[in-house]
Amino acid sequence: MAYPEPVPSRELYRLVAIGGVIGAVARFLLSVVLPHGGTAWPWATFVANILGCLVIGYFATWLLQNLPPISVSAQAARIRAFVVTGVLGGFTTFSSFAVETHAMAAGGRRFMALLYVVLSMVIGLLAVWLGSRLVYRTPEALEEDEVTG
Amino acid sequence: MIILEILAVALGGAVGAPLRFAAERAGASVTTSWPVGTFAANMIGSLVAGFSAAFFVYGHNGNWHLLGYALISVGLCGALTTFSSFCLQIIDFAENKPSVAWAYSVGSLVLGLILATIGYQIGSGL
Repeated sequence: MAYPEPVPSRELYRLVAIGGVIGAVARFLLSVVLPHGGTAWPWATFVANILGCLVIGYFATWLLQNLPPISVSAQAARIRAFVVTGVLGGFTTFSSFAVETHAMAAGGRRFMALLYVVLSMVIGLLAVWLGSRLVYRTPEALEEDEVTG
Repeated sequence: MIILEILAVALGGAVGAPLRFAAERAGASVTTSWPVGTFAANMIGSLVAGFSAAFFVYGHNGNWHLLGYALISVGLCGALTTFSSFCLQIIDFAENKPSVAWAYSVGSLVLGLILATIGYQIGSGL
């Protein structure tokens, strides 16, 4: 993943930081709207992670189909840094997911902890796939676009 | 208080996300055969978040623990770690390198949970 010189590292880091702030604050506000106790089902994290997976599937495929790779396209590198690494990376969380799973298991809710891990993974992966399908276009369709402009 | 919490989360996010970006770039310069940078960020974040959950929420009383939790657990660790890239990478590897997808996903889940538990126990002991 060698980044092109056209976009200075400093600018990419700034985009990631701004996106990270937006994503993290949005996740915090979601946890204010959907509060949960120590060993209860963590709806806020669950919803944030699944939603983030849906959007990352969409954007990753959109980038692949509409812009050159980030190694040559400054625009793709900027969009990826801001949306994928910054906003979505800041919005979704692996650490809360792990800590919440531990809290449920340590609190005696072992089945719920297992269910939380399995459902987060299965629905998260399905959401990435679904998001990707929403924007995916066959090579033929893309070619037709190029011909007709 | 919620305004201060939002500011703490924002500050943590402004540090955590660029740290993960740095880890991803450093990892990609070492190997592209598996996402070692994201893995490292997720594991370190799980350890620190486990510590923070115990230290700030259950270990101490007072209002400042809310801000510490918002800064370290929600902001810093929340943004340092990522679930969306984690799932995207599994899907990406699933097609051509299913063994990497399995090892990466199961390894992250098992080690992440172990590290969160260790962090929590260290945090409760202080």
